Amino acid sequence: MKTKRFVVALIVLVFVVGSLFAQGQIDRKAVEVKVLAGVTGGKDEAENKLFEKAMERATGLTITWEKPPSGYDQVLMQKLGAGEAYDLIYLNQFQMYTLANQGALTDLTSRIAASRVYAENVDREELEKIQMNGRYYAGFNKLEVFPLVNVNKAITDKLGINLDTLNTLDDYYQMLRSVKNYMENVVGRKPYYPFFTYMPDIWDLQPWFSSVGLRRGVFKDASGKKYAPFVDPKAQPVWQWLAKLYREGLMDPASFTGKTGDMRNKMWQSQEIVMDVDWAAWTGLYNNNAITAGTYPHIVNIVGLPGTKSPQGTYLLEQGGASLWAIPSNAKHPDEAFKIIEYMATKEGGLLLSAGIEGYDYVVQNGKLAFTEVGLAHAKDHGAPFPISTQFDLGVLGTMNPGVLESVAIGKRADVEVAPMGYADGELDARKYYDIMSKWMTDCIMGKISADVAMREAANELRINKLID
Amino acid sequence: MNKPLQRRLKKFRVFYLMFLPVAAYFLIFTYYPFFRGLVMSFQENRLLGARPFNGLENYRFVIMEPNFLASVKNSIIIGVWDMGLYFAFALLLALILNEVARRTIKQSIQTIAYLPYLFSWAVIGGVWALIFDLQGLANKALSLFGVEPIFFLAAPSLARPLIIAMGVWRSMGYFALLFTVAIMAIDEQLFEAARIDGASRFNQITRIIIPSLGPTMKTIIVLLSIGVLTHFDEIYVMVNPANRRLISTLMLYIYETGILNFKTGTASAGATLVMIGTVAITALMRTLTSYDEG
Repeated sequence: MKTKRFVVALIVLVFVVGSLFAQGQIDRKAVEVKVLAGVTGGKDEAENKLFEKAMERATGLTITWEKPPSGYDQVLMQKLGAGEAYDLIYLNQFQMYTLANQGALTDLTSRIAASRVYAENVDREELEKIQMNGRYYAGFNKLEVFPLVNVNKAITDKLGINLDTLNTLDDYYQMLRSVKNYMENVVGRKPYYPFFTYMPDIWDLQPWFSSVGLRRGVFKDASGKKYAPFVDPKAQPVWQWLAKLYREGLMDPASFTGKTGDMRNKMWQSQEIVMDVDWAAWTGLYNNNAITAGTYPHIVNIVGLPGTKSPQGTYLLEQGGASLWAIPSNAKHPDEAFKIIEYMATKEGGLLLSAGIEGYDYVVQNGKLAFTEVGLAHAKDHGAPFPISTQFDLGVLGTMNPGVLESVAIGKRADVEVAPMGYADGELDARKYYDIMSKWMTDCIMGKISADVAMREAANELRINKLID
Repeated sequence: MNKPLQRRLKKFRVFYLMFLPVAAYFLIFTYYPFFRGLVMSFQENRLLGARPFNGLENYRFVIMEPNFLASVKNSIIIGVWDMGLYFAFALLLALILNEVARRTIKQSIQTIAYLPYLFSWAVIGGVWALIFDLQGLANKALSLFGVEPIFFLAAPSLARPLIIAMGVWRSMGYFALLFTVAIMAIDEQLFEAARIDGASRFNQITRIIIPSLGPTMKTIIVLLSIGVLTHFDEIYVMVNPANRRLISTLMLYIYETGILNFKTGTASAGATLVMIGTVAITALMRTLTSYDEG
């Protein structure tokens, strides 16, 4: 009898344990975290699968890492608009503000405050930059760098120009004049437009507006009134300076019609320009491309400069709008999604997002990373060339492209202030701001209207559109 | 259901069944998104979750917006010019091609004229940038005559003409092909009779060919009128801060508002207005051309 009872109890126990285990399996399988990624992930479909697996191994989650090959903004809008549920989405700072204002993002304030990973890996100052009215709606993808002045020293050296002494608008004007004169009359490349600045979104102008101590975007004063420094009367000398550059053939006309790619090719490939404003990472990429082409450093040797000194004696640079990860309000697995956000902020996550996948992009030999041919082609960038983790040592990535560390170091100098553009606490419609500013100021730079008229008209249109008060 | 209808349904049931997949396709991929867009145009701008209805607020916002009004103006100017010039150049090309006696030359010209229609707008944008850049082919040609370089891509006076010319260049061959097919269908006996009566070639064109093209002309005009307010791709590839205020069209406005700014309600209201405008323009053209009278 006893034996019979024991056998029955044993059978029941096996069933109970078995069903609990099975339930666990089912639950574990049910948690499939859906991620919609922009730039972060594999460079192609095959590598993206490997990236997904690497992320799964690291987090212990089942993940679908969806990375559209192109047109990310459109895909994001269509998928979310159609009601498709994602647990984690990649977005930029402006998109974060827009979606958070629409109530489409999960408030991450308490999660971030409680996160040990964030406390140990993320700089408080960086974190403050993505706050929206004191709340957090996203975590970091990478550490943002900043655009700075890039100059081809191989050309300026021929003229004996000491780049370290360039601090004012006039210093840069004189340098550009000398280069134009040299390239047109000595080298015989006529016409030569030595400077390119990408005008469509009035990006890349911050190093020049530093000279009058102004920043791009819209800010709120103490009374809550919104204002745009670039249409402040103090900005006029900079617009006039840019107009002078254009008038005298020092600014490439393609600045208004060309793309960033044109600018970059002109910088390193054809040396059609001597100066532009581009990301700190590009200082190195220009030189790296030149190494491949066999033109470094005698023909192409790009160095980064902080731009012009403000009246307060500092250099004001603009940090790139953060690339972020947010959890949509309809996410099915927010806890798991936040685990991925946390992982990307660790030094291990930083390695995956920069170097790529072990065994594919690199192998570890004697404790050091040895990059494969594929890994080298991917330029140590799988979404985060500069990981957000303060514990991440860029040195593990091996030799960096020439000039990049010096450019990045400029942002850490005591006399350099790097800050994001003014989003007016997330209220700014950045697209409208860019459009209005770029069309009026293009008219000004091209000499169709004077700087004061352009600034007045731009201010009026900003006001009509309720972008400023 | 009345008996004759029932009988007809029964008699043609196979054809109705064959029609079902097509009807389903249009219901799912055309009418359902259209209906969703229409509903969204009366809702607040929210990409996720419940979208509260806000009455006519989106329409009020769009109609009051200076950018939208400027886009309406640009769309009408570019669209109407495009419609007129597509039509005129296509007809002219078809008539000229019809006069070319040698078949190989005729076919070669036809292929060359049709070819741009197969290119994507991105490729065409690149080609035009190469031609009209400050250091492009057009300025190189002008410099041979001592003419100072012209900044075609940024000159306000050339902004719209360039966009219109780009469209004409791309689509002329396609519409010319439609006219050519119609010309080929004209009864040869009409030309023979005209020749016997001593009609000149010019008279044959004006008295036989052009009148015979009436139905094709009506179809092409109605087709073109549908596209008056929907120019997007060529604008998207050519817009820059110097020409933006002159070529920014309604579709660009909707794209930037809806896709880039996630303002789905506002963009849907704009899209609904475009649709109403398109229906109105098409109806007007049908009336003007007496389209429904055959």
